[in-house]
Amino acid sequence: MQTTLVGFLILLASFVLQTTIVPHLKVYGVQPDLILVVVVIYAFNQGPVAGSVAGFFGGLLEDLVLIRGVGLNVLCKTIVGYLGGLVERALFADNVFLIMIAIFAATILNQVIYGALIYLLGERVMFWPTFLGLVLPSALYNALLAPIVYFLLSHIVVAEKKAPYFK
Amino acid sequence: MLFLKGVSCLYPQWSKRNRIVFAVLIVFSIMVLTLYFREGSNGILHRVQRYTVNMVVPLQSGVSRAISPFRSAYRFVAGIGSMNSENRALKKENKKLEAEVVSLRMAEKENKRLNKLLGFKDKTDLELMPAHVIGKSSTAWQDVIVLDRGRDNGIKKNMPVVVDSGLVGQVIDASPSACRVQLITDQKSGVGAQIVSTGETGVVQGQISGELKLSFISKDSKVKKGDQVVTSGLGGIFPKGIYIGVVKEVTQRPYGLFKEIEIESAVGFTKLEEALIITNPVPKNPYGTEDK
Repeated sequence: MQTTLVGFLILLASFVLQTTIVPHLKVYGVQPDLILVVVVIYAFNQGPVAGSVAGFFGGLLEDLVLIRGVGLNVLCKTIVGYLGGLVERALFADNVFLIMIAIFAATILNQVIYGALIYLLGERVMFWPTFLGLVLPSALYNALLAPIVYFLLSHIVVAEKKAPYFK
Repeated sequence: MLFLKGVSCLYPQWSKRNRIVFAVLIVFSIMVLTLYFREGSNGILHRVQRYTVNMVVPLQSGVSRAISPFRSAYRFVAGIGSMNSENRALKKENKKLEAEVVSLRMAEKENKRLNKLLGFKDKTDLELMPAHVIGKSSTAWQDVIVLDRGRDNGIKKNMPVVVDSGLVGQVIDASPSACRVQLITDQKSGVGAQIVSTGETGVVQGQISGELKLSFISKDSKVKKGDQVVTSGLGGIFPKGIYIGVVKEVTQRPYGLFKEIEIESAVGFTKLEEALIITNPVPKNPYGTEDK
């Protein structure tokens, strides 16, 4: 219960930062997706169910305030959160570089699902220019942000027995 | 080896309970998505979205204002980075003074910005409502900002948003105390535009790079670099004559019917802090007859 509450508060805090401070960290038009980084790192630690639930609510918060279609980020982040939780946690215990690679991959997956969804909804999507010009740089940006988020979360989240890999 | 270890560890996580929870969440996500796109703008999810925006606005607004001095401080410190002081005592004193200067500069900058907006407001017949930017989109696929004015202030969907240096975008949704604005740099944005020197009309569209492209200008056009581009007034959303930008580059493909024109806007879209919403975008009485 306490972990759930802490998880929700972390999501809320990352959402507030995402919509207020993060836009000012834009570099050449690219900004990190803090909510996604938090969801995936949370999923690494807490497993697929907690990861998908965190993805669901993180996406919902984002959709409700900024994005046009409620459900787009919900679906993307639920899937990414779940898959993040499936990955073996021990792999990341001492290797920040692997965490960065995982966040890089998770960002690309998230954005590709998002792009596919808005395409299916009939919107004009310029896939390759967006992918090369924005998705890849934002994946890189997220990957660079990952160690900091990982370090902060490891000090906030009370690791339970089933998830003892935050160090 | 690492890969094999990862794969072998996947299976314990793939339990029946996990799959059920995941499936329920996915089905629920799809239901939410379907409901949102099928319901009207007064449907339950649209209303929840507006109420959420309304609830979050004071929080965003507060944080946005709270970090404003830090942003200014960062810019200030970055600006004076080249100064090299050897005296530590002086440096310490300088820091104290810097803090004071930062707050004064902030006030001065805000004053200048507001004066510029006010000057623009005085020069036009349009009814303009000033607003603060309190949020920005986080996805690569959309370029949206949130302003702290909403339905309670008379803001409605499709109202254009400008700053003194040009067109910013249009309101796409309004809650009681905030509204979301699609920037003209958004890939889905299309604005009826006119080249001032030639009078030709086309459509200005957003690009991935954050730049603007003017489409549907004939290959025979005499448009050239530096020509000014304004809104054409066609389409009924943007009033005619709002400055969009200047022609940055003109190219012509061998068999293309239209020229490829890149537009450079003077608006700093990533640094927007205030904007003006045009609350009377279309003439109330376009045919000159009496309103009934």
